[in-house]
Amino acid sequence: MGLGHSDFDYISSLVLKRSGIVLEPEKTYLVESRLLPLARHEGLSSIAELVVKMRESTLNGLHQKVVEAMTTNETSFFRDHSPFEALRTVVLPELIQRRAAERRLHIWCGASSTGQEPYTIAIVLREHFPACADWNISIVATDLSTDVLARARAARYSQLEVNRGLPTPLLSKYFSHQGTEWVIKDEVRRLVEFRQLNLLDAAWNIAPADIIFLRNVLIYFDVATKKAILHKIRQVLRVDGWFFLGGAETTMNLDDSFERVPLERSGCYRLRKK
Amino acid sequence: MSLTLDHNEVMRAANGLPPLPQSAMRLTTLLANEEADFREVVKVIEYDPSLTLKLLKIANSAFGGGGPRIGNIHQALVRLGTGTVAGFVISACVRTLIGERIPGYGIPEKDFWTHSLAAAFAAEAIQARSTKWHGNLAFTAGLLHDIGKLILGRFLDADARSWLERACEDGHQPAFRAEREILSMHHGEVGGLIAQHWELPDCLVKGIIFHHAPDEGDDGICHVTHLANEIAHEVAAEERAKKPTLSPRSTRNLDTTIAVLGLSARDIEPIRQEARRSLQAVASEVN
Repeated sequence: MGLGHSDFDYISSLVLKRSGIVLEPEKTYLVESRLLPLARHEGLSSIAELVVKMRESTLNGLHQKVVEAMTTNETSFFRDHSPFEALRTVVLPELIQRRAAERRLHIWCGASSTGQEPYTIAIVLREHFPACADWNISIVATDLSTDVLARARAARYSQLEVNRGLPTPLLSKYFSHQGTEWVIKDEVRRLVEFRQLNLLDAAWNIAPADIIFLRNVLIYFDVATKKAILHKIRQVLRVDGWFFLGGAETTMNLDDSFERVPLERSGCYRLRKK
Repeated sequence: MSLTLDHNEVMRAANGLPPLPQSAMRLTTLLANEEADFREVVKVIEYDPSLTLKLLKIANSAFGGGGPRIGNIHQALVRLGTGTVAGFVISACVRTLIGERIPGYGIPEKDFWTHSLAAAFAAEAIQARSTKWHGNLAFTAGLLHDIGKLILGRFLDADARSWLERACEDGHQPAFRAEREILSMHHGEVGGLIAQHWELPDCLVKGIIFHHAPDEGDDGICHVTHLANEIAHEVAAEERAKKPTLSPRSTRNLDTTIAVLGLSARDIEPIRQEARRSLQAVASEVN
């Protein structure tokens, strides 16, 4: 049975309010595909019953499960290649030179999902910048979902997940094969700290960052939310820092404090010089 | 974890397929090496009498290009090319796994196989015209690019099929993106798992996984399978209609792939014709 208008409206309002994600009516199929299995998992026979249960109770775990089910967690190691090429060839060499005196780098990876992106950054650092091994490097990775954060901290990936973009030599160097899974070695794992953060929160507990990755997130938000997030990015990004967006995202017409850096298709931005 | 599709179940199913026969594995490993030893290849095939017979039959068919009848594998390899021979060896092994219809996708076995063979011939024609060398396994990569459908199809119930259809129509996206959105995996990735289970060389694994998104694969073979798949769809449509397409499709969305392969848009039509000719010539031998 299809999803009724009022149930769709209830779910889309909840998801918008809790996560900022906009669900247009043409995405009804997506809501059905994510929530019917969830309803069944909860012992209910339809999404309509799921919505009744949610309406009956004040905010509880079920509401959070629905929001998390509607969150797209698509991610992969070295996703899109270009940003990591830019990181390796331009961004890190420049920052390492600039921070030579303080020997400290802080990288923030927002909406980090199951951890492939922050671990990719850590692998790039270990693989190409061994001279930084004794620097104070912190990679803070944040996400809204407790489930995906738990998975990210566990650092265990299936064959399917490592097949998505991880070059074979790096797989054998930085992962160990345990049963059917690949586990990230400690030397990479200890570089990344995972924390829960909702990008819609008024304040972010993020230290000034040299590099920010916030890729393929803004596309799910409405214009007002995009502007609010970019405004907060400006406050967290150091003046000579670098900011990465997804390939289909831009700051154009949203926030003119940023300028795009023409590094292939890396989606790389910096703050405009005043 | 996706509740729509249990990824662990899919991975278990891929890893539960029977292994490839030793001869097929040995052959692909040999051919993955750019300087494959021809004598070794002959030895591997001759070790399997039924395979030898089948290959001799194909080499002596219209597909082999005519000429005097040949009676040994050495001559068959010269006539067909080592890459093509490897593809036929794999195809002979894989066909035993396919039922009458690919569940979930509703594709009859014959159509699945026609498309796979068309992609294999297109891949070989692409390799012949490309200014880049993509190894000896272009034909096999084309042949196996959709192999993941055999497993993924088993998991697509009526709900999933309906969501996938609507994801294409309402979401205005191609089928593989719809799979990614609804199932958080696509048939290319499942095909990659099967290829790994069969211990096929890395280039084949990549060519299968990334045949719909070659830029993500970071390997020329992914562009070969991508273009071969596109061309094979046209060739198969022509075969079904029993007439050539009057106006070949625009190649605009293939610009990057054509450039990466060192081809020009003018190469596409001859590749399509060659794939169609080869498919017709070999159809009676393999069906």
